[in-house]
Amino acid sequence: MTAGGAFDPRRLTIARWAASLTKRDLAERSGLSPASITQYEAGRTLPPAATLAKLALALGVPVAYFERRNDRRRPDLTARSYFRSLRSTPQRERDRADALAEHVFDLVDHLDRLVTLPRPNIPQIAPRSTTREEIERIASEVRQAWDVPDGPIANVVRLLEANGAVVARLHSGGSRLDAFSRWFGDRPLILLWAEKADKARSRFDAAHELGHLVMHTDPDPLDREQERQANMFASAFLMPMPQIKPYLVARAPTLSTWPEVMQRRQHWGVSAKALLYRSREIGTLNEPGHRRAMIGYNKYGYAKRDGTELGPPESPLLLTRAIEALGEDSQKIAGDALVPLALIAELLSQPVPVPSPVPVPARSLHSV
Amino acid sequence: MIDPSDFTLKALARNGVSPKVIDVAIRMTACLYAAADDVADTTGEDLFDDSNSRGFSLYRRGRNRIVKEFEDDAGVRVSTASNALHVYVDDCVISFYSARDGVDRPSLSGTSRTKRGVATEMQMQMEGMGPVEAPRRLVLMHHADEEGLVGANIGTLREGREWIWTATVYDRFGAEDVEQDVTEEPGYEERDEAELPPIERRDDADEAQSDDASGS
Repeated sequence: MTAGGAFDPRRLTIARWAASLTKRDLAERSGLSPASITQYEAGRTLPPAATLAKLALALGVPVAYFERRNDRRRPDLTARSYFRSLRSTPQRERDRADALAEHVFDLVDHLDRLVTLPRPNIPQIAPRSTTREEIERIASEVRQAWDVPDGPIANVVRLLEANGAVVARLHSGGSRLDAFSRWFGDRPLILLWAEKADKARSRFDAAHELGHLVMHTDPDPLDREQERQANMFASAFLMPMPQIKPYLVARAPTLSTWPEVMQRRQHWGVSAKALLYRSREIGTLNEPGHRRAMIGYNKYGYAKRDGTELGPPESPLLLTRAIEALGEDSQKIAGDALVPLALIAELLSQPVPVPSPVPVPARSLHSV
Repeated sequence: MIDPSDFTLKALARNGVSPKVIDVAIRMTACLYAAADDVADTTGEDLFDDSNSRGFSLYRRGRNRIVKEFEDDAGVRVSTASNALHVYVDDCVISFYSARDGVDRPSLSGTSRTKRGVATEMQMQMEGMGPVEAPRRLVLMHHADEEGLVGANIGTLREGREWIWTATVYDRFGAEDVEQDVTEEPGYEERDEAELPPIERRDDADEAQSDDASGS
């Protein structure tokens, strides 16, 4: 790559977001000034080759990463990411999440050309109304379309992957981000966060994001109604009627009946909180009963151990299998896909390389 | 009317409560339900009653119904000694008390020597050697309002103020129960996961890579 017009300023911003660096952080790490970073990201100044090499080294990406490529598919700018806790999530964490999503997609785009990935098969069903019955119907249709047997779902993440959704579990660098999803062309991507060790929550999150992908062609992260629908979808998808009915709770559990609730939620692979909510939703548990149940949930310590007692969260497999099928080393894949090596390492559960913070002499950079 | 859930029955069995004791607890609760219903119908502000008189009426009417309920049951003995009611069945004693702050907040504190005695017996039972296989002392705490019985829980108290374990015998807000027979279907962990289709390197992968390298 030359230092001419091929430089894509947006790629610099994306790489910086993915590394969770402020402009000042990147300036310090690369030996440049914060003002220069601003100029480069705004596209007002083109970085010379030696500077690009410094930036690449500081960000752990190949120099070619910064190339403007017209064949690089970008996420639909109107399709914003679904951040369930948008208001409480810092902008920096959201930026990193968006950048990671883009990197994962760059990798998927690369892999898609070289290996046989499952064809995307996400039904698109717009709700005709916002009633619970309508959302139940949609969840039931998706289960039918995917030939999911009646009863609990063994592995939600694997079911999504088998139907062509790319699911990745990555470290967000924060703890406030919820799972999110977005479309890249016809390929759906769901990002789950490694910081969340709650299996029940993770299964629910994955089903929640599936609800968005199925129902909402015009997503709006601030739309509470869409969030409500996605929650109802997840609830109905994981605990479908009528099979869930015998497992629903009819009375606020007491100290002695809580273990029975925990056994029932274990059967379905959901949290007790979700089972109680479903009981209220279906109407077996009334509002005062649900309120008392939630008081007991916190009082007796179930809130702290509800999801973690189910074991570790489900692990995505699709990307790992695809990388293995390629039969190439991580460095080469990262270089060819133009993504940070750290991403490949994390997906393969390898030690994540840390980019050097020490600027290197300019004369050695041309070979990078 | 008094139809404890599957949860309650399992919880009681888990705590060593015999079927006969469970049956007695249900029948005692039915007596309290009828008494609370009766008190709600025949007392009230318009009759110049206050909550204390309603509570006292409920105690007496509940007690008398329970005495009547078990008078012909050879396996059950009812005692009204010490101005309290105790039901003896299967080496277990059940006493009933009102929980004016709700069955979730029971209290046997106060000046009554009998109440303190019951609390002490439960405490000694708890501090006995090893787990209790069959509880010998239980309390049935009930709560009623101007519309009748709100709830009744049976269990064992710690220091007379906190449930060590308890099970709901009646809950007005959960009275519309549903079928609770949980089938023995395999749980989510015992089911087959969806399978990923085989992922293989494409035949034209090398060509695609050389195209990428040349930037075309």
